[in-house]
Amino acid sequence: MSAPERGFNFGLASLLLAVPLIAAYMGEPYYLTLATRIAILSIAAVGLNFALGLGGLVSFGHAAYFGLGGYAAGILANHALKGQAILDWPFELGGTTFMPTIWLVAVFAAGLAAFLIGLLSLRTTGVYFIMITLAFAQMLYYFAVSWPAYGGEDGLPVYVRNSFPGLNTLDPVQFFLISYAVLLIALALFSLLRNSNFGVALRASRQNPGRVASLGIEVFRLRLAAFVLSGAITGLAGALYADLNRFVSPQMLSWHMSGEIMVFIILGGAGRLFGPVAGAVLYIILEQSLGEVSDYWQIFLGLLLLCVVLYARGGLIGAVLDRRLG
Amino acid sequence: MAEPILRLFNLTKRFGALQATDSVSLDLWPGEIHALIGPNGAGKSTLVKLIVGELRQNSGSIEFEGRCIDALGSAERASRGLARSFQVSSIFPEFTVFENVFLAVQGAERKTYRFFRRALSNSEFSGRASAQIDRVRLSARSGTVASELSHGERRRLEVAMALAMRPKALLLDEPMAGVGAEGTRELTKLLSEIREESPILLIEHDMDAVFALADRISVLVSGRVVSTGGVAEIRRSDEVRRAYLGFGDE
Ligand SMILES: Nc1ncnc2c1ncn2[C@@H]1O[C@H](COP(=O)(O)OP(=O)(O)OP(=O)(O)O)[C@@H](O)[C@H]1O
Ligand SMILES: [Mg+2]
Repeated sequence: MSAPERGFNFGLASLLLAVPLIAAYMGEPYYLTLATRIAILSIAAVGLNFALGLGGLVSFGHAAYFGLGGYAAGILANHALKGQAILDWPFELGGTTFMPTIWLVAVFAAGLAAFLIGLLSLRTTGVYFIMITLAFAQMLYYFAVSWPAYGGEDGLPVYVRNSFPGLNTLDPVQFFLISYAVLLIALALFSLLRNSNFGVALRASRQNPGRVASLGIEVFRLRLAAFVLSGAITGLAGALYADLNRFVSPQMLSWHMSGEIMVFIILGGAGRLFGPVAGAVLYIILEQSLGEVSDYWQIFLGLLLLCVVLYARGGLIGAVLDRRLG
Repeated sequence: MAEPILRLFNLTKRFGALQATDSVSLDLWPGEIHALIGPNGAGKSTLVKLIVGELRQNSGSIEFEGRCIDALGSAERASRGLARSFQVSSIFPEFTVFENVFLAVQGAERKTYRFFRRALSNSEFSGRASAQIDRVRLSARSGTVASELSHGERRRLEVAMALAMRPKALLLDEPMAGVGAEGTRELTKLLSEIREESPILLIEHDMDAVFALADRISVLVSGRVVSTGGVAEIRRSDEVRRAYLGFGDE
């Protein structure tokens, strides 16, 4: 990573922390909620960035993992509040409102789903891969819509916010700080992995998969590992998102959601450490500012995306840094 | 060492009606350079792809170090010690020369599933990568992104990647194509040093290089081995002159 990019990342991370806290201090708590949403959506996109940015795997179904994480949180909390067991047999399994446990379940559920979906979809490439990942996510979406036990189409409310030891998660500042800390951890993990032996091989497989195999590295296994990791992190984001909204609905599993997560990455810069964060910030700012002017703000988003894809393949970060260097 | 490293038994490959490989039997012994020559379209590259597992034969069998490897995928064959270079350079364009060769070391050592330590800080692997880069005289370009290399430099990078794997058999598909007279001379010297480390199956159109390097030569025409023998023998053979050497001979 170049020094200017490191500077940009540091600046962005500082702003994302400072602006909402200052706003909250000045009596504008709305920005705190917005920043929490940005942080959580960024985590989801960091997850996708493993598969898409490093491995070149264009998954158009990451809403599946986001939604699974969300439902894991919602279902566990729901059962805990009602005092009902989730399972009576073969062993008794109750719900919980304890965040770390919920996160673990969300990560595991999303990772397992990514493993199974990856096992089938990673046999294909290109457009087929995009379509098959979309199809699996849609299957989950329709399942959630038609399964009445957890609210079906109407979604599932979570009446209290889940708990974290030593913190008051109902305090918006504290919940923001939790989300922000998880984002930093996800980014640190991304940075470590990108430069590890695994990351080097994964980035190579995006450039020239046939050549990777000729060096003795099984490409399918490599991609599957990246895909599982990617889904698991997006699942963690889903659990936090459920907590933020105190509500889970099939919307989290919809293809709009998959598209949104992907748009963050393309806007910000695929494969870049802070690409997902820059993309999510830009997206939310556009949504808030243009959304006020017109209900059709997404037309502008579409135009912007088109420009990025045509003229700034490195995304926002690439455009900013190249201008400074050039 | 009374056993060949690599042995092909009646290997056959068809592309539709085209018989690209026609019951080829051939072997590679420790310490030797076995050259494979033949006109364009004879099936030389196809044979290499069959050996490394990139293509599957219709019939016949391949033995490597005395064991049948027909059931193994290309990655497994590579990590057992079958290294190749590609006729059309195949590298990682966004990686530096060093990263390209480093990945070859990592692949051969089966150390891909390490997640947390910075890969390039592994001094053993880095040392091995640098040594091979040195050997093909690319040290000055070590930090250069591979997409910026000249054609000749790419050919040499390919050879460095293959060597970095410490292969037990090396399959080189026209390593000298387009590297110029000077490049050919350097590469000829390098390959003759390598032969003791790893036997080489060498596909090459440059007949001077072939005659200088080869211990044995096999001639492939329309997928069939029409002749195998020592350099002098092949030079003399009428069949070879007709089939190949007459073709394009000045
Ligand atoms: N994937 C493929 N599908 C169909 N035909 C193929 C395929 N690959 C090779 N062929 C054909 O098989 C024959 C042998 O090709 P091959 O590339 O092995 O020849 P070669 O001896 O390496 O030639 P050259 O000296 O030009 O590199 C050619 O007629 C080629 O057109
Ligand atoms: Mg060829």
